Amino acid sequence: KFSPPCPVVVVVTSTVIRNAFTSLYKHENADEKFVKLQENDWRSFVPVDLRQSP
Amino acid sequence: SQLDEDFPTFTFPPATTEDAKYVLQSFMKEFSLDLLTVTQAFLKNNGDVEATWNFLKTGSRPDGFPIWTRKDDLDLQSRDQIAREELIRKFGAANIALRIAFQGS
Repeated sequence: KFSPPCPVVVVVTSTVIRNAFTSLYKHENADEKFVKLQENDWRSFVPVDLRQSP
Repeated sequence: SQLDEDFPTFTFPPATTEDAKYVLQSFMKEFSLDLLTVTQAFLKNNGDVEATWNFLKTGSRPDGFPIWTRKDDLDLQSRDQIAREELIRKFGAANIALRIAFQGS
């Protein structure tokens, strides 16, 4: 695994995330959906580390 | 500080749309999550790739601060001094600066 010699922060801007989402979502209401994602609170989910194997 | 000088933090130029599509799809595959969930995770973590990855894996940000809620964002836009002081207490001044920068990015 590559380890950089110093802390590196990789940031994706809001506009780029929007463009990428719109490109991948492939529905007419992609822009509307993106705004909802911004405005809605994070829904509950189970992080990978806490998921139990079947 | 001396430590900061010895170990500077570099920020790459913002990722391109193609980079972002690759990262979104990689996270969807790695964490078995849909596009909506992964995209929202990025939005709530200010577009920080490492923080988003850590959040999806553990449920926490690596810096220990919570993710942003809608109310936090509205308080950030308000002129209510008490609400702003509460945000500083909750997130720290540096995180607030990052949030403002991300929202305008």
